[in-house]
Amino acid sequence: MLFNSFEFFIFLPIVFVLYWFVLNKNLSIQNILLLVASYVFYGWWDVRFLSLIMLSTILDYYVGLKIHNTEEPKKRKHWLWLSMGFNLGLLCFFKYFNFFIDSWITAFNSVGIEMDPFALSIILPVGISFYTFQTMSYSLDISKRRLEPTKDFVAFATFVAFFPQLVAGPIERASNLLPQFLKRRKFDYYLAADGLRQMLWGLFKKIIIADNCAPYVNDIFANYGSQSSGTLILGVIVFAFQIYADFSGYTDIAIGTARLFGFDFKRNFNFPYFSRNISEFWKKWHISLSSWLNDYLFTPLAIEFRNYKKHGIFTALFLTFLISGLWHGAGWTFIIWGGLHGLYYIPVIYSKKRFTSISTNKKTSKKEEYSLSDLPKIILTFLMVCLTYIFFRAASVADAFGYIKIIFTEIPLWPSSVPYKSLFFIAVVMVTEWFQRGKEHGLQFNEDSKVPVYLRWTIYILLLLTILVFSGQQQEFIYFQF
Amino acid sequence: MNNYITEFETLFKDVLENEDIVLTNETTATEIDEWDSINHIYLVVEIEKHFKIKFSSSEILQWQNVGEMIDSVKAKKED
Amino acid sequence: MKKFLKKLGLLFLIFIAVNVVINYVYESSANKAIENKTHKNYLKWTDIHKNKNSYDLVVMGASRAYYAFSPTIIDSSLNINSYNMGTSAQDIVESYYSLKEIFEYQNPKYVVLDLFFPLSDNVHDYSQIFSNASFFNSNKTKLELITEGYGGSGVANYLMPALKFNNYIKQDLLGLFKEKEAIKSETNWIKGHLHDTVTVTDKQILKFEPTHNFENTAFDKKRFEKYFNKIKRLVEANNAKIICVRVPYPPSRLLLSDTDDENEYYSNFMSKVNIPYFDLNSYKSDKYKYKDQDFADYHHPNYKGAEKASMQLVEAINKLNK
Repeated sequence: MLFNSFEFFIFLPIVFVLYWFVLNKNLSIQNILLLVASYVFYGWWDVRFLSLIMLSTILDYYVGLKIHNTEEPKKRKHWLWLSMGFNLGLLCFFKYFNFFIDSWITAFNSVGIEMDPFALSIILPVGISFYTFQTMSYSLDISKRRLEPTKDFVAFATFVAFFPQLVAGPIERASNLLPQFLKRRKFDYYLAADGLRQMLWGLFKKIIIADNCAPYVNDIFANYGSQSSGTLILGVIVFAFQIYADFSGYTDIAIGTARLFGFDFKRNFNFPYFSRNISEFWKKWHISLSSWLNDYLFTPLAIEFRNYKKHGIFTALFLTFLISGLWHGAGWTFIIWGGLHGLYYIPVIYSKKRFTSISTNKKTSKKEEYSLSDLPKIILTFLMVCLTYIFFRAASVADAFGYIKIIFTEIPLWPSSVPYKSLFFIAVVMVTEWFQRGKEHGLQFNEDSKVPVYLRWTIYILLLLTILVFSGQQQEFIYFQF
Repeated sequence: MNNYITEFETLFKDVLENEDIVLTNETTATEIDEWDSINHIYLVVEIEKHFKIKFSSSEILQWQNVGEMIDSVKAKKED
Repeated sequence: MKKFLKKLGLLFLIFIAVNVVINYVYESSANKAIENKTHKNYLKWTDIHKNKNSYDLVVMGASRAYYAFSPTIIDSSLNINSYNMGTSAQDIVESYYSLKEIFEYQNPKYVVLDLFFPLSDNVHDYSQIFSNASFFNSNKTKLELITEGYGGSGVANYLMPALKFNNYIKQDLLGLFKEKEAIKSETNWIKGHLHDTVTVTDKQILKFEPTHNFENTAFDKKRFEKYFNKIKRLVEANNAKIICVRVPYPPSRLLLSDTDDENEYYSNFMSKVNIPYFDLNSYKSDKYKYKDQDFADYHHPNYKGAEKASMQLVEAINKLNK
């Protein structure tokens, strides 16, 4: 089920009513309802996918308890490897099998060894990149003694399959989310109301910006050879906003939906295009994934390599970014995308100065204070990210290089076609999020907000109407192939 | 015990280039802006150099706050 | 919780009220036209419903169909009584359900169906589609059109005026920023055909784009095949024959296109299902040569083009009857 679909529009109120009014006598029933609803939501795509997530759930539930109850380090490691092996094995098979085979064959062909192309037609189960990472974090945290496993199977299964974040994140940590399934949820007015606002804002970004940008971007990338340099530059800039609106919009809907049911997800985007450097960008973009990779991949690697000083850190970081690229898609374009970001950290790591934000020891950092001198930094960072998007979006590495070649060999003139409507809405969203940059999401109003009620309600109605009037063709979320 | 905290504070101030840092046993990375994952590695290396000890990777990965880091150092020093 | 539900309910009511206003604004002009007996769809369906079993031939399709085929010309050449039931934005799904309604009142021998890719894509002008369907007498057919033909999207668009009229609203909003083009008054309707005297301007010809191909249209093959087969079965069950045609394009547009995916696809498909298909861009082209001036805009023939297209259809039918 897609969030912006008729089915979800019917599904959500039904589950909401059942959850708060009918089946909320105790914790188990609350969780069972959510579990069933989540399996319905997920099975809507393809019933076969359900078997995989159930298998992963059962295995990791069992492994978690085993690791915790075993004292011998070697045996603990073996249990951990079972969980990691299974989850990564699932991921590799469904997502990367054809890519590995293809690359293998290409490599052999390039040195003159002929191999027949071989590919299985494997359907990619939706969300597999997300829930495998989520359950692996459970096993890893238990093995590091940072978390105690739960004996409540239903709570655990629901934690794995919870429908708001099942298909495209955010990747929640067990330490944050699992305890919320072990306590009966009570209705909180502010949480639910703000959840709805966040859903509205997410829908607006997804439907008005992402869906409307898609045809323009698709056309440019499909026919880049016949486009002018100026058009290509505009194309990748529009794509940057398309993917932001698509992904952060989906996340807003996910987090907002979870809040309707009394759950608190961690923030996944923190207005990343206002970043002043690449380091800040990665603390604000797809936070759940980058912090996952940071905690479970970069930090262990960097600690292993710590005696190689800056080279060790760079290597660990570069490898992590390559893996991040690979996570995003089974293709060299994604790996190069990741690698580029890794390379962008060279000045960060090798400069004499410690590259950090404004120094302060206080909990409430002054990071959100900007000055005019930050504007060129923001623009430069944005453009650096856009360059990597050429690889992310291009159909192949050759296409990406072809795209870049035109940009850097032709003098950019005014683009031949400008999507004014999309640019207008992008401006509306970016200006709104700029003024709301201290908040959780673009449409958050605090309880003591100075914005009068009638104005807020007018905004809600206007947003709803705009969504209906300007909805483009329904497009799948970009991150759905993950 | 006090010695360790003071020594740690000096190390942190130096590595993170911030003279205002104050540490307690409960201090975690989220409370100090400069203490991100990259700088954490520099801190570990400096601590190992300063106290002339070597931690195992699994030890390092299990630290939750400054207090636990100090405990690990103490354990190694008083071996 | 009570506070939450109360506020949600209030918001919902306000939203409904806004939609009621939108509905009133955009339906009132349609209602006025029905009252004044100038609403073209109303007039067409009144003819179909009132003149039972009188028409030997019906033309189905979108606006291209009602611009291109003149029953007056067809009638005098073939000595029959024909009617043009092309309606704005009528896609192949609506053609099917319209035929279902038509066959309850008429028993034509021929059904002429105009084909081009946008008729089977996933972009629908719901306000036009529902405007046409609103004149069905059969509520069952209307319901099937909305639910089976267009699914959840259809239902949502039917129920929410802000969605249904979104094209009109967008146009009106844009009109605040751009000069409004003078709305043509379409008043010359004869037996469902629009006799248009406008000729495309040179400026418009310069802005022509290539014709539809697989890349620039979201042609949904499955949707087309599913509903074409339904139409075929329906027509055959009513002892009639289908004739498929492709209304011509201005020749300058054809010159802009490297491929002609449309014609290739349809001619292949129709030969497989054994249905006669005539591409009027090239059928008997020595006799019926089109010029850009035979068109009112980028894809609607004007009365001059309609003369040619109608005669081409006549010749096609004569050929089939030999």
